[in-house]
Formats: sequence, C-alpha cells, structure tokens
Amino acid sequence: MQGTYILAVETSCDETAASVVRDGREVLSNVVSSQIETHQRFGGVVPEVASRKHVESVTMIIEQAIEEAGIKPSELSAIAVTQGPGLVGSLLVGIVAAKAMASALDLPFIGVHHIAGHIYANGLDRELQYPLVALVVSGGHTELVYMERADSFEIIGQTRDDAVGEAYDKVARALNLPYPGGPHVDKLAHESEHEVKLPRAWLESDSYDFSFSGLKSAVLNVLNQAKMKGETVDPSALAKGFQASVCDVLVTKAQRAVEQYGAKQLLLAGGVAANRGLRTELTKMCSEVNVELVLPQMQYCTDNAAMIGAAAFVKWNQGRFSPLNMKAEPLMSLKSWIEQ
Amino acid sequence: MIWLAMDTSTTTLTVAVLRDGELLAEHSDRAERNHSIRLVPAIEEILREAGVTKQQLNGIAVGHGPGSYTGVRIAATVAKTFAWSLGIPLVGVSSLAALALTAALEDGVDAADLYIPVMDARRGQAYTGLYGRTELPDGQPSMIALEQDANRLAEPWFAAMQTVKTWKVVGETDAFTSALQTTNAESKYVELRAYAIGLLGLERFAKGEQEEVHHFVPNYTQLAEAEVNWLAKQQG
Ligand SMILES: [Zn+2]
Repeated sequence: MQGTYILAVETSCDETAASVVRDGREVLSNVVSSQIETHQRFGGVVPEVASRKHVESVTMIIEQAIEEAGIKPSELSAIAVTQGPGLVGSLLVGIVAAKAMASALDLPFIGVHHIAGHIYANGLDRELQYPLVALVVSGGHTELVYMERADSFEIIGQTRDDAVGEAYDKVARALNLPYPGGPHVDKLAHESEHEVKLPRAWLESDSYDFSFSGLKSAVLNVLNQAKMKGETVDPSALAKGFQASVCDVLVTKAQRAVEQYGAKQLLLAGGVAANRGLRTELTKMCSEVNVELVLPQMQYCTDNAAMIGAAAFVKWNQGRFSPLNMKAEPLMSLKSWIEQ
Repeated sequence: MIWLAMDTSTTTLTVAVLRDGELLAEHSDRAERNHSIRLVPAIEEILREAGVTKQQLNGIAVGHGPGSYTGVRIAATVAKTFAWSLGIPLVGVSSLAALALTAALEDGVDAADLYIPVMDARRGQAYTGLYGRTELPDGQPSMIALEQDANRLAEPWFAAMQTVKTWKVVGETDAFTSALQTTNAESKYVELRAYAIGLLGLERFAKGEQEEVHHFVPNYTQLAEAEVNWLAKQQG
C-alpha cells in the first residue's frame, strides 16, 4: 500500500474520537462519539464521568475507524494521540490506549498538541500557505498564532481570562439556554433585529490579547438591572449585542495581525469556528484586505481525531516520534510540542 | 498458554508473564504514582525478560479494581486495547481478590481461612471485601468472594467482622493502624502481585469465562460524585 496511514486518537475532553488519515491530508475515516447527552444533565463536562465514558468506548471507536478506512491494523504506519492540553483524566485514557496499540503492533507513536490539530485541520482539504495567521477559538482557547512555516508556532495573542467558547456558555446559561450554549446564542443573535449595545475590550492598542470576562459581566448587569426594575430584556437582542462585541474584537485583532505579519492566509480553528456570525464577519474582512480566509469544514470544527492525524504527519515527516513513557500534558504549550 | 497479567489499582505497578500456572517473570514497583507513564514500557520490559514476543501471548489478565479511579482506568484501558490489538482473550479479576491471594501465597502453610484485603480509600475508608481461601484441584490456593468488593468505612467494617472467628487483614494495612487496634485481628502489609492476577485470570479462563473486550470497564464500586449528587437532587 502506498502512503503513510496514521491512526489518530483524541480524548482530550468529552468526545471519544478516532480516525485514519493518509499522508496527513486524506481522511479515510473520522469517528466521533460525543458525550454531550451524558453531560447535559450536569450543565457541563464532569471530568470523572468523561474519563469513565472514554474507557467504555475507546476500543470500539478505534475499531470502527479502522473498519471504515477499509484497512488492516497491520497496514498502519503509526499511532498518534492527543498529548494535551485538555482534561488530564480524559487525556490519559486515549494516551494509554494509543501506547498499548503502538506497543502491541510495534508501530511508531506520536503525541500531538490539540490546538496544533485544530490548526492543521484546515490543511485537510487544501494547501496551507505560509506565512499564515491562525485564529483559534474554542471552549478552552482564544489565541492568535503566527506560523512562518509548517513547523513553527508563535503565540502573538491570547485570552487573559475566559476563552471565547467559555464566555458563550456562561452567557447562554444566564439566558437560560440549553447546554452547550454557543450554537444557541449564535442562533438567537441571528433572529434578532435589535441589538443591546455592549462594550468591547480592546486592551492596550498594540496588544493581540483578548479579555471576555468584562463582556460577560456586562451581559449579567443588563439582566440584573432589568430584573430590579421589573422589566424584561429581549434575550435575542442581548445575544446579538454579545455576539457583535465578540466578533468585532476577534475580527479587528485578526485583521491587524494578518496585515502586520504579511500573512497569506487567515485560518479559523476550534469549536467556535462553527459560529456563523464570526464566519460572516471574517469573510467580509478578508475580502476587504485581500487575504485568503481558510474555514474548516463543519465536521473538523468540533473535536475530532482527523485533525490529530493531520498534525501527527508533520512529526512523521520530521521523523520525530514520542517514547512510550510519554506524559499527558494538560497545560501543554504549542512551542514545547513542536520542539519536542 | 502464555498470559500477561497487570494491575495498577494501588500505588504498586505490577506486571507478570505466566506460562500455565508457572511464573516466567514479574516486576513490581511503587516508586511513584506515574502508572500512565510506566505501564506500557514495563510490559515491554517484562516480555523481553520472559523471552516472550507479543505474538506468543495467549491472553491478558487484568485487575479491574477497585482502587484509585485513575489507576484502575490505566490498567483496564491498556489491557483491553492490548487484547483487542492482538486479538486475544481478556479476563478481568478483582484487585482485592488478588491482594488476598498474594497474602495467602506469602503465608504458605500458615495461610488463614478468611482474608480481608484493604486498600486506602482516604478519610478512614477502605476498598475492601471478604475472601475465603480455597484450594484448586492442582493444590494452588485461590479466593472466593464472600462479601462484595466495596468502599466501606474501615472501623465499623472491622467491628462487624468481630463475629467471624479468625480473619486476617492484608494489603495497605498501614493506612488503618488505629482502626485495626480496635480489633484482635491479625494484619499484614502486602503489596499486590500481578502473579496473583494471572493465577485468578487463568482460573476464570479455564472455566470458560472471558470479557467482551469492547465493553470491559473497571469496577469502580461507586458512581462518580457528580452522579451521586445529581441522583440525590432528583429525589428531592
Ligand atoms: Zn478542541
């Protein structure tokens, strides 16, 4: 068989996922078992419950990924797994499963940075062109990453408090929307014609950092003050105002980064990349400044293992593998990963 | 029949290779609680030491707990993934039964009839059960569960056992010195051996029992705290 076949496993949070990717580009299978229904009743991901669920489904999901790819385990080239960042208990299950498989089949083993995975997911269906800037937005991350080459990362900005996805979930909870709240806020914002004006946190004029806790408090303030006055707030107008503030800050900072770094492409990555409002605003901005916008396909926005297979291929090309005593890194940085 | 046995439910990481009932190689260490780092390399080392290739393995026996949640998950996940990757049978056994059997093997002719294996579950609690020693047709000792493995408050559990004539507490006894002083039971500090996991696993397999690999999960003995709280809230 021609090519490099990487089996990738991802269990950093509440999805058990496995995928077979050929040459870092061609997704032969992409199986994701979501635990959303399990965690819904708790109003958020419970780490111990998530870890237990991973043990329950990990080999089944791997088997399904291999079967759907139409290959035999003996035809695999390497086993890859998310090393971090993420919930330590969840990471451990995927890591020890992947190690056991690499050992049993005598295959090279590759630990992958979760966010690198989100970024390289954009390269699954097209050629990435460097230098580029990636805007990573998820429940745990809000980062602007500059990549001069395929194997270099520089974090030029990040959130100082809440991640975007976290802010969305908190606002959704305040508006009594079901968990996970992000998509509901996005939907409400689209339905409204009115907008409750909310502040923007720009921070220092040259900073690429973000802050969303003030905005979240502003939303709660509007709700509380209305309650005290016995008034009701139109939740969709509030959602629209919140989304407008978030998008304005993200898009403006991304634009400045793209211009300053002379990026050929702007990549959007992470769970919040599915947000329609953000996609629309970024599309508008990129056509204005004449930079190619790369949006991930919807199935690669949320956590998946195909993206881990794509990122692992970078390490495969460098011939850099991980030892079987690799540690889970719940707080891993992109820089430490690419250098390891 | 060559079997690989492992357990990471306690602070001891232990792996062994058995041919039929005979021990080919065994390694245990309690250096640190870093089982997720050490387990797979330890398996590779023990196979090399036993002169056995992975392809020669006929089955895998694993301690399914109870014990540290993270610990029991590591061995269970490694064992099921190994068994699935190699296409060989998997058998899970009680880590507490293995702890009791480890003690009985050590005790030899002086073995007690009843064993109470204990693992530290913090705040005066123990993962524990009650096991009766028995003998297999080939003369090997084995264990029969007389009470379910569970997380129990150590002191009342020991007190309730006072009605039983002679019993011996084994395992992480150092965590229960004061609770043990209230009893007249014999006690002995014992570290779990994968050899005992292997013996119990082979015994189950000989009876025609094995796990459905994909659905194999550890025996945590209790729900996650968040689930307990959620259930309590449902009942008002
Ligand atoms: Zn993610």
